[in-house]
Amino acid sequence: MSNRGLLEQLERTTETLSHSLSNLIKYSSVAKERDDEDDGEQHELPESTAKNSTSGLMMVNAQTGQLIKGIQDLLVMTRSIREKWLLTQIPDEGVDSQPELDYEKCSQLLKQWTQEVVGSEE
Amino acid sequence: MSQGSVPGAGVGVSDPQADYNFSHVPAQALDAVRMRLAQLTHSQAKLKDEMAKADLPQWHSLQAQVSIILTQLQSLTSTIHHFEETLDSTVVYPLANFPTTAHEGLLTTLLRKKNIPEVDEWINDAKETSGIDINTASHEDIKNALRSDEELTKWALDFLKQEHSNYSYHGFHTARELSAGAPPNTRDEYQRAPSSKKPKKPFDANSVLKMIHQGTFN
Amino acid sequence: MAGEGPRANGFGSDNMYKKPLAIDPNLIRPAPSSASPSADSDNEHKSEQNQPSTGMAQPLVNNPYEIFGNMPLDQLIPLILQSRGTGTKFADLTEESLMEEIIKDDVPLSQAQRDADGDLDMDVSQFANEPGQQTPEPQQIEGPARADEDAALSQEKFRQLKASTVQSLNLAVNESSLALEFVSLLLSSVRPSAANASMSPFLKKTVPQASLNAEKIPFQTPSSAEVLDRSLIAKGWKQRSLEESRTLLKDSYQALEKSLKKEHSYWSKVSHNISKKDVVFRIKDRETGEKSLGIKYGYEDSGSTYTQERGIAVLKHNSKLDRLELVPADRQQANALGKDNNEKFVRVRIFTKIEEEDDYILTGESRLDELLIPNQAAGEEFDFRRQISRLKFFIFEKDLMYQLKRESENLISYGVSIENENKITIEFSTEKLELETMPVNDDVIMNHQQDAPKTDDRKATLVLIMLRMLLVVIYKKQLRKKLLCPQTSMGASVKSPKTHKAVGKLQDNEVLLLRPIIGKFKHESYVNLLKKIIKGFVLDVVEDSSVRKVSGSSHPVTIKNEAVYDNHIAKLDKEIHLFDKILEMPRSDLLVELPKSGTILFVLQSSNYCNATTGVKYTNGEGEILFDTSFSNFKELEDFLHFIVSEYVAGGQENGVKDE
Repeated sequence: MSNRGLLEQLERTTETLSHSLSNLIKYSSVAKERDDEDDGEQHELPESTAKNSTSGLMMVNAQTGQLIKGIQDLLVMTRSIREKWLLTQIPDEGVDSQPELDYEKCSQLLKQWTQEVVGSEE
Repeated sequence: MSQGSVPGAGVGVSDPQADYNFSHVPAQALDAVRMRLAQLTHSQAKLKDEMAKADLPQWHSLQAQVSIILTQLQSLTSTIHHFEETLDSTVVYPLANFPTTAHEGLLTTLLRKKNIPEVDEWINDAKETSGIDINTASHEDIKNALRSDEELTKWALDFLKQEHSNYSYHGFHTARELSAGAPPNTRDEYQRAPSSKKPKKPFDANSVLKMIHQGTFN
Repeated sequence: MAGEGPRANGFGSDNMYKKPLAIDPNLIRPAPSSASPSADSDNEHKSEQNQPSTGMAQPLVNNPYEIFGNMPLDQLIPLILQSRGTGTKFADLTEESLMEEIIKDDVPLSQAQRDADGDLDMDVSQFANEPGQQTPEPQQIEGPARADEDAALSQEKFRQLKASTVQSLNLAVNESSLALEFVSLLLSSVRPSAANASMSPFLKKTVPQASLNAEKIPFQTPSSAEVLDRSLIAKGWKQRSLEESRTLLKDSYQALEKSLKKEHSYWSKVSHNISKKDVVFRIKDRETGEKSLGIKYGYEDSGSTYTQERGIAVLKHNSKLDRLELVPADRQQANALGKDNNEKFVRVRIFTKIEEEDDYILTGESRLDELLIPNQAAGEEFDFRRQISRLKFFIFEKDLMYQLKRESENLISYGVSIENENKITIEFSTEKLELETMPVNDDVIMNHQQDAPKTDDRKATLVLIMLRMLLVVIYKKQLRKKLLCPQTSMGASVKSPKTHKAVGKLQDNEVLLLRPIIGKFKHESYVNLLKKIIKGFVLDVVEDSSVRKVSGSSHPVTIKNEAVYDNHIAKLDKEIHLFDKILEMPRSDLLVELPKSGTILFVLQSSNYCNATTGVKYTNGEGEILFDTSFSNFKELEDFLHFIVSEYVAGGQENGVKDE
């Protein structure tokens, strides 16, 4: 996933998280939302039991689920970022390359080997 | 003998439809409710079938179905609530052409308003959880309890809103940086990876051919 | 109660009760066998009813009714009293109370669900959900969704959950379809088409359309009591939901935190231990099925063609220790055979021949690599690197042995024999070389560390090191081949996989491990032999003759001055050329100078490192080349020399060719 895509996903997830949390609180309120404040209590119908139960259900499943899923998404995202970092490493030409062989010394050592093992003089 | 003026009407037999006045049937409300109820029933039946299978489908498809059902349920209840006045003020009764003799049980089942025992249990359980016994406590106490509940909820919401405004949800800068006046536009925020950089000029044909045949492009 | 016989008691006559209890205390006798006839006969009679196998002292079937039926009363009654708890008196038992008890026991059976057929629902889970449990939660549909949280969910529990879910779903479907039918029926009076669409066929058949009507009644706003009631219910319900939500969040928080910690430690170790130069990639672990990272420790990128081991290890996270690494696929087989099977290293031994006994004694053994010696002092950071080094070491050793065996197959005529799949023996005139793969276990290591150093140890170690270096040279040559002609390795694979494999594969004659070394040894001995022959046939015969070594017209190895494409290839070239001296065909030139008679030039060379051909060129005193031949047989050479010396060389006419 590109960087931009990741960033956007991050933003989306955090938005969703904050919304879910506030929705959760809203759903748990007992009284009904009042659009206009000046209505007296008598005219307001309390919510029916059915509506209550539905919002209760909704609360638990949907919102809580969204919260948890949001966090899990973040976790998955961090893992993919880490993998991306790890797998796109390229060794630097200058820094990581092996040191140059000292060819002179090497041929010297090879000559020595021949002498020692085979016992001949070249 | 024959009153042929009324077509299709037999002698003395009155058209049942014409006699009854169906004006009080709340058609609009019922239709809306019916539609949503049909959807809900359908999804529920689907879920039940899925669950009854020997090897269950993936959990996330089940989860998706559950959330669909929940949304439908929510729309259903809000519809009902919307029409609550209308629906609450209607009373249903069977007409003569209902085959009561054969299907008396069906009628009572259709028209019953009582909750099934499970639902009653749940409601009782909820009443117990609230911790206030409606018989012993006075109305004022109950109202106070409800009000304090409401205040708690309000406080929680306000708190959340406040916290929300403390954070910056876009871009790379923290809210603190932004409020301290850090210039948000000087740094290129969405910097693409160098590998995705495309060359600006189109390729030279010769160098392309050279690359194909020789493997170099110098 | 006195005088009442058992028959008067309702119990005795009731055939449902197979326990022929004589409740009347008057009938309790200490020795019922010698009892009064009435009681005894009753007991016997009833026990006969119960015993299908008469006459047997010990019934074959363990029938509790029988046992209690035959038990003498003075044992049975205390038992009964005991089972009811202390303090009960036998006299307190009445028929009614016993009846009640029996009915109570039967209660679950009558309340059991009736299936669609009307049969009893035999689902055991029903009983489990009875009063002891909580009432079913409103939020119960999420049964299957929660099942995956608890990994230790037993199958029994799962089945229970599933059954309860299906039950709730059934309830829900029933209720909503009922509501749907009702609404449709009511609607059918005004909007028949819409209603018909959602009515079930059963309803359509049984009930005609528009059978329900509705009337309006004045709307009653709910009383304040009702309002409060509803609010209370709401409060309680929402509290419940909040509680549920809280539990869910807490559980998942804990689970997530654990996995977060695991992730964190895994990745910090990865970043700590893996450098940019390691080849890391995503791999699916075959054993567990999960996707994880793998690291390649094989030498394929460096030019190896060893395909018997993949050389890939999975970076698995062991939460207790550090990382475990596994080799894919091979590991399963290896584990079946024994863990140490994969860890083998090559050891070189030199044996010197003892002339008298015609046997060999061990005179040299190569040194153990320090990777093999378990190193307790290594700290944690080195452990991972050390594991990688070890894996690399072992796969290299395996490759080495594999190539050695391959080469030895063609060298049988030169004293090389493969004794078993782990041992190669090379015989020289005075020595014997043994190349063996040894498993890494404590015995080997201890034996080695305890051995006294021997004379040829260094020589053996040097031979082993040279073998390894030569394998590296083979790798570099392969690499260069791949780099120089990439189209053969890439393009061919599309058209014909066979040629692709053939191109990439190592040819037999490219494997140059033993031959240069053997060649060198053999050449030495041939040179010595030649010198001895020369001495015997020329020097000792001809006066003032001398022999010296001359640098032959050997082909100087020039580094081609081609246009260098790549500095990598140039570097490879340079490295490969370092070994030219080792890899070149052995050749020695000996020049015998005969006074006044010219020179004899001996060219001792080999065509495949192991054989020897001697070229003899005789130039007489006038500078004419008289003979220029080559021999592969030293006996013929001796004869020829003898001939030359005796014919052409002055002073050779004397008889005196000394034979050694």
